Amino acid sequence: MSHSAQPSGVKMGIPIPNSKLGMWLFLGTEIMFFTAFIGSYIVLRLGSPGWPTDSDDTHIKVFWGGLNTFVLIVSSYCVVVAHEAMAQKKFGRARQFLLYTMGLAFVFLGVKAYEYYGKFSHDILPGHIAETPAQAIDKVDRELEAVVRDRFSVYTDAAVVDVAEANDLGNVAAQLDIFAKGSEGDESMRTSAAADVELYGKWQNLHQHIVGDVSLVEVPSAIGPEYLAARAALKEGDALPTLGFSEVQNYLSEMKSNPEYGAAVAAGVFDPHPVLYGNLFASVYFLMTGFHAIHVIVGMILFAFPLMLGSQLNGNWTDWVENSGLYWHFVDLVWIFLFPLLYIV
Amino acid sequence: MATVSPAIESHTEDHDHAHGHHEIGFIKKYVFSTDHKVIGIQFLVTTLIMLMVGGALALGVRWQLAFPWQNMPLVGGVFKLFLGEGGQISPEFYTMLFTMHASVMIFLVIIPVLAGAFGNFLIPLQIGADDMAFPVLNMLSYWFMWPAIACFGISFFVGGATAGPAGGWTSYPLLSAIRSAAPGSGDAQTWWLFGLTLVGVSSMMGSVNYMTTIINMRAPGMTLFRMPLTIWGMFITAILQAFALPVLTAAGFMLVADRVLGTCFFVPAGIVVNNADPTVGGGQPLLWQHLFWFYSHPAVYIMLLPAMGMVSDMLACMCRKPVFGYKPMVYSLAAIAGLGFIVWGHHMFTSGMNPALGMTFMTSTMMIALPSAIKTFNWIGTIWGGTVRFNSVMLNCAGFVAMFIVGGLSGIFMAAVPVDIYFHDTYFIVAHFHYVLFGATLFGVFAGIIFWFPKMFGRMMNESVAKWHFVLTFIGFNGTFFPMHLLGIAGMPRRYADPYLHPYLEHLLPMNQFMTLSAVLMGVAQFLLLGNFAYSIFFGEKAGRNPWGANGLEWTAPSPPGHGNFDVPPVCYRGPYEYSSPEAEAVGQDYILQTAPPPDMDRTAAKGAEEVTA
Amino acid sequence: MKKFWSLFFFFWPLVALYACWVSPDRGWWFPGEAMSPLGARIDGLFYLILGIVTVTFIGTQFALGYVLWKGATKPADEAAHFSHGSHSLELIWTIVPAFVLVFIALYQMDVWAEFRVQSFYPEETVEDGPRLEVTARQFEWRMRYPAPGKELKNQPQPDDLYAVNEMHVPTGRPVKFNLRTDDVQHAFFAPELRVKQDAVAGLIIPVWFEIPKAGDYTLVCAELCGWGHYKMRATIVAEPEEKVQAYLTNLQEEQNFDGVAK
Ligand code: HEA
Ligand code: HEA
Ligand code: CUA
Ligand SMILES: [Cu+2]
Repeated sequence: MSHSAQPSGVKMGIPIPNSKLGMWLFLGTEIMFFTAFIGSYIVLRLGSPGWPTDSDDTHIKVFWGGLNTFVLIVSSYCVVVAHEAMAQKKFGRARQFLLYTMGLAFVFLGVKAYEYYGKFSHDILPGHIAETPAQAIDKVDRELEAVVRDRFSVYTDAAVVDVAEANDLGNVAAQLDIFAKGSEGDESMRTSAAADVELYGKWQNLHQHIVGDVSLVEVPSAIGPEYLAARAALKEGDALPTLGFSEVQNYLSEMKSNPEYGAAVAAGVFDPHPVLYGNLFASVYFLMTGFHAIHVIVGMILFAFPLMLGSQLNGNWTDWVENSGLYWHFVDLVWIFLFPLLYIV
Repeated sequence: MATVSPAIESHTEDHDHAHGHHEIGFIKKYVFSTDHKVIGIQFLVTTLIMLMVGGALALGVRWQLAFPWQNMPLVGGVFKLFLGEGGQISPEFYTMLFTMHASVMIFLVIIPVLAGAFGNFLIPLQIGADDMAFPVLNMLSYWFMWPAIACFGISFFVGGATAGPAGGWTSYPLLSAIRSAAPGSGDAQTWWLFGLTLVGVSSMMGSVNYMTTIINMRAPGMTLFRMPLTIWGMFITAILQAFALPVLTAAGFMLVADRVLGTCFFVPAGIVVNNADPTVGGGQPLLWQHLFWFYSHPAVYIMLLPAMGMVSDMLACMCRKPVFGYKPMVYSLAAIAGLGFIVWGHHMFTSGMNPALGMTFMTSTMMIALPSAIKTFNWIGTIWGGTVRFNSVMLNCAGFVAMFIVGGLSGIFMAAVPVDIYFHDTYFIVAHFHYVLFGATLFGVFAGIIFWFPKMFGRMMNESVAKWHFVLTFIGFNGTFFPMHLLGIAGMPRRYADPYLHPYLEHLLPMNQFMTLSAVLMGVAQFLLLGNFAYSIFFGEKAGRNPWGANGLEWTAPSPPGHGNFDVPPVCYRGPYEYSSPEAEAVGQDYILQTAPPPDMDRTAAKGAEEVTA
Repeated sequence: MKKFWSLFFFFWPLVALYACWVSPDRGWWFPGEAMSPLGARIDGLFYLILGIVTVTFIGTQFALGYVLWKGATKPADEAAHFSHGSHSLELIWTIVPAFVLVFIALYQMDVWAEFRVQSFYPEETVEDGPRLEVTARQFEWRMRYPAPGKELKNQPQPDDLYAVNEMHVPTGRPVKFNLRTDDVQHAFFAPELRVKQDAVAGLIIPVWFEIPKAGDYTLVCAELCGWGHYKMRATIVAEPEEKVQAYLTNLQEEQNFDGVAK
């Protein structure tokens, strides 16, 4: 740090080095930072009429959270040992325990990554979650359309259909139908084309039902135009039965089992699973764990410096290790608050 | 007086060196310098420029209010060039004008000029340290200002010049959270939020640095209660910064997330703005207001306390008299800061929050007037019975006190909940905060610039120009902002591009035109300040170490101090305000430096001290 | 010159006071008397504070001018009066304002309670419930009345009656209405009535006022809500109950009018 301002012996202020004092003060600001998040979490949760706690809605597994808590606590302990070793000039031992800390930090991030994967693979992301069955059905519809577009792009790229019409799916489907029934172009492409026309039909069917709000049982596997006919046949005054959530589920699984495009659908369309207030939950979850993870990474960078010295690690780094240790304890502490808040209550 | 100190020579000399061989030397010394004095001056110059920019924006606002929908003189032509459209202000452009005006003035002028400029320059000098505790961090805190300025700058233009950020400086959601809510709520708003965050990072680094320095790097004998009130102001401000600002940063991240990541902290479900798709989620718009004001109310004291400290210093010096009630001054500073944390709700009386809170916040807000009262009366007490020097410093300080009283008293009206029902979001508020922000803080800053200028550049500022600057600014200021109280009472809402649309406000147009004229006067007056500043750096009359005959440690260092500040390491023997004390009379002067050893000490040490003084 | 400066600080408060003194005649003052009883009481509180503050203003500013004057006229040879302050004085000027401020604070409570705390609302508002729902949206005010004889539901009903930028309320009795917003935040501000309440997305806030005198009153928006914030104007038409009913039935007919002239 800076050269002391006091030539004469008298030292004003408190008997700890600037760097450490600075770190303490910095941690003070950090505490306020997370206090804001935790405060917001409490306000939002109390303010919201409900909160998803069932773990197959939220994919929160107390076990993994608990494991991570344990990991962090142990790592904190390792830092303490490392610092003591530094103080006693046992640099080998210090390095060893810094390595342990580093390792445990990686474990922590690994577990986090696994948990995040669980969320992503079920699309439990802020703004993506359908909160009511109706929203879930719309979501399926949108995702199916995306899949269809994706499949069709193959043909527009291969220019077997009129590229100019690429984004008018109906038109492309019509052209493909002709192409599939025709004889030019290579064999395999024609078969897949036939399949994709069917896929398009199925999506259209679902889509039209949503738009028209008519139950699937009416006209089971009708494609768009036929469906429209069926609807035209409706007599004046008889109400349109509404589309059931489970019907859509079956319809979808039926499509996913199809040999031709089933895989694509399975990949592109999430199983519909409405989670009431899920978006709010996901927002808070990712905000808090996300910023905590960032802090973990920063801590790892701090430890990386002395570790990179390898065997040259020496006494000048004692303060460094101590201060990064302080920081690490703080990161640990924050997690000890987040764990019950997010995983248990 | 004017002793050219060895330090100064060495200073200029190795300056030539820098030119001599490699440029890097120069860069290191004057651009990426870690010397707190250079950084302080960098902050000062930057903020003065920003003052002009913010002022120019304000004049745009004033133009629209005085001559609604009419082409702007000169500037209008410029707009025609790159806007295509006519030179008059469109409504969305107007919102952008006052939003950016406020953002620039608060985040790029007032906060950095107090903490950044004066904090950096004065803290080490006044506590007798050779530099800040973390010089590099210090440099970073300045260089984080520029990305912030850049972000604000970008937010001007990303959406096309009529779609700058338009949420007001308070950026309440949903206006600021939903892109379709306003032309300016697109990328412009996001960039604005980035800018805000960067300013936050900058002053956070600063505050940790200041606290550490003040706690740990004081010169021998500089006990807490021998610290000048400036230092106390800076210290308490730093604490406020450190503990309030992270909350705003957090809120900022949450709002950005709502905008770009699809989260819904502030966005309730099923809101349809401008026929966009209904929103999903279940957030609470009021949450933002709570988080924002939890920072921004303490922030208004962040924008005041250092000025209060500096003014106390200068008043004592210019009246040759100790500050009236030093300890009460310190305690009241602390009390203001403490109470400042529990009054944020007074900005939300009509926001629909729980009415019981309204009552609590009213009471706490009233209480915060007490420490302010103590300070006000103590300032008057300080002047009372002194031999007053009526120079530009003194005038600006007296202006500070006078204006702060007005601003504070108008605060009482708004603190009273029922009255605030009527005054909230009217020009009464605008009057209030311009009186405290400009009237108090900026006059304090003007005084501070003149007072410490010799220490910064070794030369004095031109006195008569400074006096003219004061008079014109003072007149222009009151002409602009005093009538705003009346506009507020007449019920004119703020943030209106064209109030005269409403019959009950039509008759206020002439008054607004008068205010605009005064504003232009005030604007022009600022050129006097800039001119005087620039001129005096090079041609001002040379100043000695202690041109004002003041007591603080900084006056024992050469002007300007070389690297490491003090040629004689200072030792502090007494409080900073022993003007015309018996002790001083004994030495035959009306001031006595904090470093002057008491007579009972051996003469040699005293001699040393005297030489420094001489 | 010294004297001039100290006089300068005497002079400007005089100008300020003069400006305030003349402004009521110039119309730089409240937009007329408060047109609602509660508003009148708010004005009363304002004038109370105005009195206290004016005294403080004169006191402090002239004290400032006076000490400056003393400093200016001080004989050069006489040294400054050396003192570190006086605790007794400081006590006085802490305690006196303390009492004043606490008094102000307590004195405000009941008006606030009546304006905002639902349990203190006048019982008429409880009896006949919310009269209508006012919905702010960029950039207009939408009124939703229940069909005559029905009462207001939070969910829109098929037979509800709608109007834009015109709010009809009966005179002479407290009227309660629900305040909502369709999009961003707005604020319901009726200057003549001294009523202001933000409309917050996701909340339904009950507001009440009473207008003794029939007439048209301005309603503007007092919370920044986008470029059109300044032009969000509506009229509150206060008229006797039967006129309001007439207006509503008329609305109903217009709404149900099927285009076939009778
Ligand atoms: C430097 C900045 C600063 C300072 C110091 C203050 C000081 C005070 N402010 Fe201010 N305020 C702002 C900056 C500041 N404010 C800003 C920027 C806004 C608007 C934000 C926005 O909406 O854009 C605002 C808004 C604002 C509001 C919200 C109004 C609204 O939006 O409806 C309120 C309400 O209570 C308020 C109250 C006060 C009070 C009671 C004080 C007190 O601290 C004042 C205390 C001082 C005195 C009272 C004078 C001296 C004392 C005496 C002479 C003793 C005798 C006095 C009595 C007995 C009464 N302020
Ligand atoms: C420290 C803070 C600060 C300062 C110093 C000022 C200074 C000024 N302000 Fe500011 N103002 C705010 C903070 C400040 N303001 C805030 C927080 C708001 C609220 C915004 C919101 O509602 O969100 C506000 C809002 C605000 C409004 C209300 C807008 C509205 O609600 O519709 C008005 C209207 O008159 C106004 C006017 C002025 C004027 C005339 C000045 C004058 O003092 C300026 C004088 C001019 C100069 C000092 C510069 C001179 C420059 C030139 C002569 C041009 C040359 C230009 C270049 C060289 C680039 N301000
Ligand atoms: Cu609506 Cu402002
Ligand atoms: Cu405030």
